[in-house]
Amino acid sequence: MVADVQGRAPRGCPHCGTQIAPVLLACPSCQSLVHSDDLNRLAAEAARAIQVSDVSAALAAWRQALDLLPPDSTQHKVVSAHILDLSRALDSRRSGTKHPSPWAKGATGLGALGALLFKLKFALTFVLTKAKLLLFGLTKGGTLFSMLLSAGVYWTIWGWKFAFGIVLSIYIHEMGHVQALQRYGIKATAPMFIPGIGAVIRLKQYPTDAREDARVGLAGPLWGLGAALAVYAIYRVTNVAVWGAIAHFGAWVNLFNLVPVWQLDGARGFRALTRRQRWIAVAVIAVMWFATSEGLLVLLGVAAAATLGFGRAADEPDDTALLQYAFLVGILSLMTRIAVPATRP
Amino acid sequence: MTQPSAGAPVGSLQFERAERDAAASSLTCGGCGQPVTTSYYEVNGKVTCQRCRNRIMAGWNRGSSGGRFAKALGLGLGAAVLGAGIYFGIAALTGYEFGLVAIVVGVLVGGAVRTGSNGRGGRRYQLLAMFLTYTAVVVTDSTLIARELKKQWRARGDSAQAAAGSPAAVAPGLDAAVAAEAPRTSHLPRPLAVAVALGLIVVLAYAAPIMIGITSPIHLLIAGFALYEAWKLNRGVAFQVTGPYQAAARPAA
Repeated sequence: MVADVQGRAPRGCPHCGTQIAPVLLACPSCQSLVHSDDLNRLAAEAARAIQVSDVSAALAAWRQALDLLPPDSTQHKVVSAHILDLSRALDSRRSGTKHPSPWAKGATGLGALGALLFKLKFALTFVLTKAKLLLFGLTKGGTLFSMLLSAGVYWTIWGWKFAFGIVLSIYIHEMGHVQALQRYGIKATAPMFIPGIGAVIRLKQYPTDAREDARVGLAGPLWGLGAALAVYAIYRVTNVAVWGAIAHFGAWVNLFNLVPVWQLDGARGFRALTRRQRWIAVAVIAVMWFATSEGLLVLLGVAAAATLGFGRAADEPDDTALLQYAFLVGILSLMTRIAVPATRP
Repeated sequence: MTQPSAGAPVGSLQFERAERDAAASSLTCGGCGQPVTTSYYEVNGKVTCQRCRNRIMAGWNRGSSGGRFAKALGLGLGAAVLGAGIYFGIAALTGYEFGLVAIVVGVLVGGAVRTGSNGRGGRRYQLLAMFLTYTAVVVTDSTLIARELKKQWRARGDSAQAAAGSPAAVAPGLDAAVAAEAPRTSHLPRPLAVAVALGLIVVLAYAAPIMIGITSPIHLLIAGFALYEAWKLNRGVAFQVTGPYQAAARPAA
């Protein structure tokens, strides 16, 4: 359909007087940037964030700036490259050697007890920061409302305990994506639940490269695995069937998400893998299928093998993505073997 | 932490004017590269002169509407068959019947119809994509219903056989009863009856997703989501032209 749109009134360029079409980001005649003030503000914000070592905030500011720059401009190219550098620095900082804090040094001096206290402090900090994010996610009206709606639908089929259990499992999976997106400063919508489908998050900005995309994609199943393991631990302690059923469901759903097709998390993980790494992933899937006979792994294997023939493999290997994918396939496949008593949850 | 050093230094960037290569630094047409002197158009975000705009629009309007629709129908039908094949293939491979495959079907059909329409989209292509997606869902759902019916018939057959095996059923007189039945069943149905029966089967098949949805709302939601994907992919905003816009009377200093 051709739309010969009149649309919004064009702005006149303050420098040369040329009318600027509403969708253009710079005057086509003298190249004055339309959002010059915002760009300078965002650059200053990013610089301040770097000064306090908040790389995620700097990334968020630069990504916002990128949206205001003409894609064919030199500034766009330089800012894109800078975002890539910052994002890689963020990953290498996490995997690099960490210098012990003075607190840790003091704790080490106290021997085994000190080490235990330090580990407890680390675990507590980890749980509290993640719990804060999980609670913060519930303050979004759309997320909470759609979550309750989904729980209601599942309730009518499987009862309230299982319904709320699976909705929380899906929520934790989605918050894994949210945490990774925040880490890389990528704008996205809050999770929205769709009964029968799961939940979706729509990205407002694109990941810079396949590595970033894989980290964001696989963060969901990693958090989902954490939730399933926690629920499984509760099941082992209490021996209440519904916990086992929720753990089994959580493992199955997260494994399903690893199918490397379409918009599923597995497809995002696979984008970062070279051809050789994809063969390794296929081999891991095959081994787990022989070990567990889980039918879903056949689907994973077929889809993964198909990417060898049709999908475009990455040029650079991403060992982290491969390790995460293989680890997820391994543990989640084993978890699908959880024997749940045949009572209605 | 230290500032990453790879690439050009971001600190030295200015955000007053866009820096481009020399060819694009003045008001030139994105199509032919010629300088624009008086006015320009914006075609999908690109600065375009009047001549190029006219050429692009003429190209867009080329070909017959019926031809495009027939191509969209053919490709969409192929995608629907492929989608149904994927559904049955996965069921055969894994033993699971994934209702979620319906969404993949929606995307396949939607994409195929869009390709057939030369990327135009629009209401009639949206309706075509939705109809073909729904038909693919009908085919997969009909097999579910057929399987259930088969089970019921088999169960009924078994109970009839059990009854036939009882002493009362093998009593004399059975042959006469069967003989009395025979003329009724051997009547060939009239063409009208066949047409009515076929019509009824088609209506029932198309009602299958809704009937299944009454007992399983999730099934209906997934089908709805598949239809939404097919509809979304054929939205009719693919080509936007705005303008004309006045170029500067005098160049910038």
